Amino acid sequence: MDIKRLIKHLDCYGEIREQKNIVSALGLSNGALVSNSKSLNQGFSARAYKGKEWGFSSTSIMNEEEAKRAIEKAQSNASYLQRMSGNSDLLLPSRITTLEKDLRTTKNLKSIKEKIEFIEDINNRIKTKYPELASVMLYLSEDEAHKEVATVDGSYFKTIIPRTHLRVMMMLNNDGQMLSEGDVFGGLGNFEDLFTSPDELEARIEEAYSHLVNKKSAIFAKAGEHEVILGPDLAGILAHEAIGHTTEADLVRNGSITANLMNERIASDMVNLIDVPHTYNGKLCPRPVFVDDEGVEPVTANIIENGILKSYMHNKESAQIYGVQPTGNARASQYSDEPIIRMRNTMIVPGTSKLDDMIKTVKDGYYLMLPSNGQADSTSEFMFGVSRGYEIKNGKLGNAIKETTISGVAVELLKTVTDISDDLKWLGSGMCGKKQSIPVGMGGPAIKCSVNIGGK
Amino acid sequence: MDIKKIANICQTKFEEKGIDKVAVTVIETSKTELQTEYEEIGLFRDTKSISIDFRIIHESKQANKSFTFSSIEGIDSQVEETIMMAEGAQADEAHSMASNIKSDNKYGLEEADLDKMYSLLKDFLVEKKEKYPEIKDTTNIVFDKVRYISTNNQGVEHQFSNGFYSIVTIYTAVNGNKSSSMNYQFAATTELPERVLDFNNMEEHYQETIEQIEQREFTEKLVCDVILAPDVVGSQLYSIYSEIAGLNLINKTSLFMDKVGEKIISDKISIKATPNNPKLAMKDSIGTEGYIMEEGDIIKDGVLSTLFVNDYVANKTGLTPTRISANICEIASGDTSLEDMIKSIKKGILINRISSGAPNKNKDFAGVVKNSYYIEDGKIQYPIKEVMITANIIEMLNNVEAVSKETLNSGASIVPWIKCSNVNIAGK
Repeated sequence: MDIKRLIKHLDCYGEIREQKNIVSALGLSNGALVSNSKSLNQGFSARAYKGKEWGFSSTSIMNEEEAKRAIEKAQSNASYLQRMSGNSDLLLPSRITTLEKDLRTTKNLKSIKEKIEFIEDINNRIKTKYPELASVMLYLSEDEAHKEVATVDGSYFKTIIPRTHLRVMMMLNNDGQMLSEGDVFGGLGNFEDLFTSPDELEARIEEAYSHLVNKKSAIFAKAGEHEVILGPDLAGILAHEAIGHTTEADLVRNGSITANLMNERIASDMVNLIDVPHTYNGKLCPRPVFVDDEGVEPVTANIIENGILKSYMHNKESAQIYGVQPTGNARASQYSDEPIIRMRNTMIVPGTSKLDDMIKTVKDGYYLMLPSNGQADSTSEFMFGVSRGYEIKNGKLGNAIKETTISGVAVELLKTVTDISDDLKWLGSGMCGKKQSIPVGMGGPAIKCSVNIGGK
Repeated sequence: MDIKKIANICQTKFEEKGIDKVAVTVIETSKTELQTEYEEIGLFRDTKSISIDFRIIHESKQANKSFTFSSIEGIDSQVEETIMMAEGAQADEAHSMASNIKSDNKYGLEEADLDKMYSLLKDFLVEKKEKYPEIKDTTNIVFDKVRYISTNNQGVEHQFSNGFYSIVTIYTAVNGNKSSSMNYQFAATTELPERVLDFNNMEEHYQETIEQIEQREFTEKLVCDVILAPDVVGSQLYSIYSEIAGLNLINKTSLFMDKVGEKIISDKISIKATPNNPKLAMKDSIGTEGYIMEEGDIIKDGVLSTLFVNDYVANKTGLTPTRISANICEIASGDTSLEDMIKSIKKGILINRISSGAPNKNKDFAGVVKNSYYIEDGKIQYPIKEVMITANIIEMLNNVEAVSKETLNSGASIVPWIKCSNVNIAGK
């Protein structure tokens, strides 16, 4: 459909969007193919703004007649609310742009059979090399988001963003207790770009296996406040869950802790935390957003600068209310979803120290490496599961610890940061579930800080 | 668009290709949503879609494909791709499909009452602003309508429709620079309430959240009694259900594979699968393999009654297939009032929510209790903050001392409050 022409049917501010999300999955459990699926979710949506109210309508039927019906319905939905409220029209800020970007591979596409053979090969290598494993699971997932958006204020974009991830999970029976470890490979791009040979995965699988074996003699972490090194994956989830969400302007308006902390110190002065649209240090981030779904050319949100809260993340409406420029954080998951304020690629900026040197400075603490999951509150109180961690005794790594949990208040924890490593690792397979589930990037260096650990 | 006609066209296209077994489900959905934001009704959203699911088994190779329907002409390429997916797959004799079953079930409402949805939300905003100005929320009333036909070439045809409302509120309480934890409530119903605040104790939740602005630090470490609210009970049991289904059975990594007929949790707990429970707005009439889901005990007086065994799992393991799931279920209420439960506690915690890491394989977990209260001498004392719970789910559910008379109906389950003993609680 010609959406540049269709946008002219909207009689007020608004956007129209044609979107297609393709997700495919192959799952191998102990060598048996237990999942072989593909989904295609596509359709057209329109959103209209009248008064201070939004009308939205979508359809899966992709023809002009249905598109026009959806546009009319979005307008009439907005009119219904405006008629009831009596609100006058508002002018939203904009930063218009035009862009087309297709990040799909230029290589020949592999067939399903070839992809299955690839993961079977990895499975066979693992089974052969580590015969004592009770279970091996491999899960290859590919998603592609195709979006074409036109806005009444003049923006137009068309982007195609693919992501591919392979999750490897190994289980070991340790005298009746099941232990698990794994790793996630891949990131931005198609299978053909990211997975050329199973050989390339072997070193990291071996590393995961060695952590699994270490868990056989894992000890409980001591409960309470401890000096720790949070690995990059945990720093990333801290940035996203515990600070990021509290600085999304819609949650700020609904009373998150940062509502009263603008220009206040919420972290030690070595902490810088940003939400990046698409490129950091010349490299594409795990989930690049070149234009947001309101047609805004996005900018980096400098949320924490040298420990001081400096910015929230905005869509057009919140930018208008706060009297700032929109940051380009409005995104919708599927064609039938309305854009809401979402993070893009949220990270703590690397420092200058070396991770090994940081570990040497800890006398009695823990190196917490991988999160299992995470949740945080509008107060920035957080809880993260830790699936991989080690004791640090006199500057050296000691025993593995059993799965545990860390918790605290992020705006307090970040004030205890005393060192930041100079490397950056992205956790690119993340999904954020605020009303709609959407891919996000989160990343960071390792940080040295003090945190409350659950345990016995 | 006639969804039965679409299903027949799809079946014919696969038949022409000579595919062994073909299941086609055509689903028509619509949604009407009103959402409040910042004390106004700021969004009116409606969506309509038709989607199609294919599941085919050809020469013992299986593939699943789902897609949104746009035109009859577009079906051909989806059929071709599904066949290609199956051709690339491993042959596995365990794949199977139901045969010779028919059903026709209609539940719930036909359409949304938009004006009632609007007036309910408008009245809610006015009343909330006047009585609970501290509450900051986003609240939605949503009407979902689903209609589907599910057929296969082995003589299966199911028709199903359901329509219900759900009310979702995500909220926090703010007073000056102080705020409570965020909380949320969700429930589905076929009958809109007279007041939103009447719905599923929402007014009580708002009042508690305002109290929780003044959470106190709790410094003790206790092994004590706790009362788990229905949402917490539901999430803890979810991790038990995962042990009696799917790959855990195939890979023999289930903790309960050989425990049917044995007591696995307290004899005070009974859980029943109720796929078409008239008290619940949501239904689980048909399983993914095309069988009619059955009512039956999952756990009766603490004894595991069944495993969740579909045909694929049965063929892989030799277990007998069951048509039971916990998607829509009811946990039996007890004989103790919530008030008496609280009175019976010398020192303990009323846990309304847990923010926790995923439990490990052995069901050990640790988490932060949220929106929760300290109980002493049989009385709720004050809301607490930064308090951790460390427990093993199976042990905790074996240490149940009482089950409440009161239950909470989420639209998908009916769950009571549960009192457990000997739980590790640690303040800061």
